Amino acid sequence: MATVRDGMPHFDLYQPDSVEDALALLDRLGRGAHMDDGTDGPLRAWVLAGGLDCLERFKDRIRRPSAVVDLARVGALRGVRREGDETVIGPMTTLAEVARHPDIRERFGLLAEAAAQVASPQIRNQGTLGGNLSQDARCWYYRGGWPCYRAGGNICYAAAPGAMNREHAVFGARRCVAVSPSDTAPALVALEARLVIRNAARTRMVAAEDYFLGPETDITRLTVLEPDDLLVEIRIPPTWAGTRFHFEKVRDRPVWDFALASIAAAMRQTGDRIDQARLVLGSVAARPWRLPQVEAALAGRPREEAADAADLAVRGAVPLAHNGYKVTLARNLARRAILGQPPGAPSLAMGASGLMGAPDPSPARQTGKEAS
Amino acid sequence: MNFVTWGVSPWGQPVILHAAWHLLWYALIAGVAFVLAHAAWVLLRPSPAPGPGSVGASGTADALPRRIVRHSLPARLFHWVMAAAMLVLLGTAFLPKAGLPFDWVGAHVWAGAVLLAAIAFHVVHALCCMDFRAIWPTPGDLGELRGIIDPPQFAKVADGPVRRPGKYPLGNKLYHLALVAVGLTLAATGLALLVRVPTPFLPHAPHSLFDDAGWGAVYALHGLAGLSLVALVIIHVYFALRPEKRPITLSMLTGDMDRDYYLAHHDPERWRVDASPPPITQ
Repeated sequence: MATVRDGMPHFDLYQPDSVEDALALLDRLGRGAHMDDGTDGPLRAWVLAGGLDCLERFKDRIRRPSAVVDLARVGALRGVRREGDETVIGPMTTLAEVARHPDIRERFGLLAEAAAQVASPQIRNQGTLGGNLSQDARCWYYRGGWPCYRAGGNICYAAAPGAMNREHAVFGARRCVAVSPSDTAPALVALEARLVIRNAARTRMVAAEDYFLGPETDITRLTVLEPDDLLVEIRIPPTWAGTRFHFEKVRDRPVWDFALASIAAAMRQTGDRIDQARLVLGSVAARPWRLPQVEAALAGRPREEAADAADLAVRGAVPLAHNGYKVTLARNLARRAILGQPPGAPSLAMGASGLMGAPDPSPARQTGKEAS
Repeated sequence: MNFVTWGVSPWGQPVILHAAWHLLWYALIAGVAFVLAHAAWVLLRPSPAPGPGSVGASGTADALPRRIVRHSLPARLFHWVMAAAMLVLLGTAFLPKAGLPFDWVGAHVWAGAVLLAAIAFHVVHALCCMDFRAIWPTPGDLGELRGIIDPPQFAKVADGPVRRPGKYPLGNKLYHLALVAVGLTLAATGLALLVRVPTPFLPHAPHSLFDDAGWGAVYALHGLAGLSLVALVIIHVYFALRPEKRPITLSMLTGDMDRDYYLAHHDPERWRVDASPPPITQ
């Protein structure tokens, strides 16, 4: 029987107006029905933030929750404020608000720039920071409802020889090769943000770096959020406030597209010498991919001399059949971040072919619009 | 109760995905229940009086060496390598399912490769260098079974001679038989599964060998055999720790056992041991 599409299926809609009410609902509905094999059934409640990640999947019947908890009316989850030296952002704050908030722009321009690069103005007006961080993988085999590892099955269709894997992972793949699609996640990892998670029983705070899960840890989800958990705060410490930032996102189209690769970097400098740095690649692994070897190689060196440290960025990369270009892309993004070259600017150091470097030997089409 | 988890193939057909992981708790319960039941039975049954020892064809006990060789060094090495590999395999397979997530695939693949090599070695070694038939159950072992069911018959069978096991008691043989079935299922399915993930051992060809339904069956067999192994390992460790089995357990470390234990608990006619060489005289 043909699958019904473009019509919203039935679910019970809950619209709490406080965090406590939302937590109570998730405590009651979050884990949903238990199947007779003891696992959580497909009917558990779904947390709705901006709705951009999930409504299409509801319509396509890829996700069929019995209940949806819409957070739009929970004012406590929205807005940006200062608590001492820390900047605290509610996860329901829209990406547009994050991108233009004066405090964030002044102190953490890296996050403002990353938020400004998400999709299109319309989507940034509706999409939230919490939703952007917590969105699911964009692998089309998975999104298409195929029974892959991430969907609870026993195979990765994207890793198979002949599969379409141009946008997939070159780092940290274990069976599943999907990537984290979030633009803001690398920025928050670079800024050493901490995320506050609550459920009915407890509150816990995790480093942004630990919020994201690779397939080696859990192949069915991208974050540590449990079904009854709620992300309630994003706290950015003053550690990197006002330092030199670099965010660059490479995508097929200049707007409304996910990154093929991105980089978020924060560097503390004395003159031209880099004292300390944090560099994080996006869209090359299932979680934001920190570059600790590059960071260590940069410490105490002038920028120009340290640019070769970018070669360390791609150590351990394992390209698939059609995404070998991401290795070159990641190395050149790291080099540009170190040198502080403005996004999109061609680099003499990289040669005439720009970000992509030498032509990718794979038959995949080249994707250098932003770089050219 | 479902023994397997079902999914839908890209073509819309229902296919088996893997074993139902909630069976892990049933396997643990089954293993512990067996242990408790056996311990209670040992405590409550009438204490069978073992018959007098026999010196068998060797004539006198003094003709036997003081220590009786039970396991050769290669056999012991195989046992402990297999034990270590199986524990790693079980831990890497089921701890994530029990709620302790970690990067398990690499360790699982390497432990599986070690186990496959160990099994291959054991089969060859058993065929060429061991008493291959000693471990397999035979109709002659039924007397032991009757003795277990009816303790008064433990010592004697139909007023005949004292009935004792050969090198391996019936329980040991049955355990080995179960382990052969489970282990070979795991080995065969595990070998096939090596093509599903990138490894140094075989080309990564996840769509080769079987279709979706066939792979589902392979995953299910692998999982169900692994779950069975959970219960089997619990039972094995329990018997290894029982006081009356201690000499047998220790022999897997030292390779030999005391002559008195051998004479009291084994039938020298069924487990022949070479007598001590005569003392050298001039």
